[in-house]
Amino acid sequence: MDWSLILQEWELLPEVFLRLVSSPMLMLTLALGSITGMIAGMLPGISAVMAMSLLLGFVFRVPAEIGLGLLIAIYVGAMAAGGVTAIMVNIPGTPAAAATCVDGFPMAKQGRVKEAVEASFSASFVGELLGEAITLVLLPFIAMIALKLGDWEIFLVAMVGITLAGALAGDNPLKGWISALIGLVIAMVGMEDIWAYPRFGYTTELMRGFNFVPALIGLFGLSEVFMVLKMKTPYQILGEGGWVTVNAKLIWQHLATVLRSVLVAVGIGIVPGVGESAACWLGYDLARRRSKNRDNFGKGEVEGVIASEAANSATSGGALIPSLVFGIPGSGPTALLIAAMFMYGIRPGPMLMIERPGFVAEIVILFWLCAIFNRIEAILISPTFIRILSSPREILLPIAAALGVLGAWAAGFTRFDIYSMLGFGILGFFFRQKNYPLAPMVLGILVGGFADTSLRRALLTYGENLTQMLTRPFAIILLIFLIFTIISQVRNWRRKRPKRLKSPVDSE
Amino acid sequence: MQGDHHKDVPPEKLGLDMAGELMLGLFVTLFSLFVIEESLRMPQRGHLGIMMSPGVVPLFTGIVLLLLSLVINVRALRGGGLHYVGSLLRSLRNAEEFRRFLWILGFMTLYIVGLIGHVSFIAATLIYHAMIFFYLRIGGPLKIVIYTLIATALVAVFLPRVFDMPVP
Repeated sequence: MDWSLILQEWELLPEVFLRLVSSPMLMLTLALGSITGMIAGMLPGISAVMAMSLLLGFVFRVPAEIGLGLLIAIYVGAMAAGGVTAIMVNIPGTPAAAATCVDGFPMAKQGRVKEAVEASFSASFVGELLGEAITLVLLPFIAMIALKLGDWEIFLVAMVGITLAGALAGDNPLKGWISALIGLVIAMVGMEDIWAYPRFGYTTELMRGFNFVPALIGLFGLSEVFMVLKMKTPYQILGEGGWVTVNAKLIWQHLATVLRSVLVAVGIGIVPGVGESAACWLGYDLARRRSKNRDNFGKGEVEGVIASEAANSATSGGALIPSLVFGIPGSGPTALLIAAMFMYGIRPGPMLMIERPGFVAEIVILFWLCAIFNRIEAILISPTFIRILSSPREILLPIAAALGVLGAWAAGFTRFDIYSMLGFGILGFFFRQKNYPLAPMVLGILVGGFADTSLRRALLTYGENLTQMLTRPFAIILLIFLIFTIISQVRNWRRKRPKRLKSPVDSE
Repeated sequence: MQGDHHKDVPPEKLGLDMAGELMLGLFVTLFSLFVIEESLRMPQRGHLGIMMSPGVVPLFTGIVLLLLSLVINVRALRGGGLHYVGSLLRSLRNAEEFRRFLWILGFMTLYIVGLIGHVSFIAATLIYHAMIFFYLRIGGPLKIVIYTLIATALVAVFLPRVFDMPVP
């Protein structure tokens, strides 16, 4: 990576900034895109990817900066707002908001809605700004690290993500890991990438495999509908709503947590396919380990919400690196961004900064502007959204279920997706009955395909010499971290659980 | 989320809890055995055998899943889960919450399998909302009608129009 190219992007920042902010059409687009993204992020079942892909056809009709701005605005809006449904309905609007549920939802049930939403939006805002800034500053270093990451390391990052999610999403790491492994198996269904063998492909639909979106809606959305509506008197969200502003004091108090989450997110976000989903769990884990209130995590700790939201918003910066520098999409939304770039004749890759000076700076500024628009709109519409999402559950959740049906259908326009959503909803209900966390399963489904292909490609490459694979420097660090996580979580769990479970049969 | 803390839990409740753990644990065990069996049947290519097979990841996942589920099963058995399986099934039959779950599931199944694709999406969504709002007794007839119309308009008319998407 040539330093002069990075300096060139920094030098062009003010010029690009002035050009972008002086375009009224672009500003209007960003405002509309942000609000569309926020609505998409808040409505259970309508994801950022869905909203972006449905608007991709429209993007083609407008100039590049407007089209890309619209897609980025939707992405940023959905990422920020995904945390709101996670807090208020216990259904994450985006997979990256899954860790927000762990502390956000208990806060809402305790009547601390405003505090939780404010923490979520503030952390998300700061995470987005810092994430992009760090991305721009560290671009050459991160690109260098990204180049050194091989298939084996990608597999290990996926494993670190699901191991952490399994351990942190519930009280019993064994159940979390069972959930994550079931997710991995679900991701294996369908035509695999290396030999094109249809694993578990008993029907034509299964040969295609399970779409991720119906699984997410079923496991998080429908199971929540079943869990809440089975009660004759469902819980209600109480507490004050009102204007949700940027809580600078809160962020200042937890600045170290925010910075840690942002750095982890930018670093992990670069791992294609798995980084973005794993980052929020890593950020959350780091915050929990370092916090004075670590015992309060999972019971409504505001630091947990801040850590996960700062991380998930900052990942967009990390995910940009492989997208722009190598043309490898780091996530669903970045894949759509790359598709849009190709439509405009912009070829992401190592030559991008030479062929299109100022383009990287433009994308970073678009992310910053979107974060600002998003923040302003969040202040304006937050009272309405808090009021809507505080509606009685017996009104809100049946509508969420119907929206879920529409979302599952939109994922691939097949009825199989709707049926699989129902199946995942039933599975999720029974798992939640016995306290199996579902976030690790969703993460397993999300990263399973990538993890499988990466491991098998690594085995193909190093088949004759596995020692060479195991002794790669980054792999050793990740492997040690993975083993440390497993051992420490099992040890924690053994320390907390009752010494010897006395059978009720014995006591009778 | 509740934890695995069994202090101060009445023995009957703990037994039923363990029976539930055992049943779900056994489901996971059977699932993992199925995954292992299917993975071993997948073609093995090259001289590295299973390492090059498409079944390598499902196989190892299945093995770890089997081991973890066995730990859960052993704990449930030691907690007296087997003894309470019958009581659990009987209690489920009489539990109001489980009956309500079956009703909600019935409405969802009727909507997804019985109505969508057979009648227009707007009609299917209207019938589903009316049924479920009536069952959940969200209010008087007028309130049910108003909320049914608003919800149907949002799900089946407004959003498909905004995103210019076909409906099921």
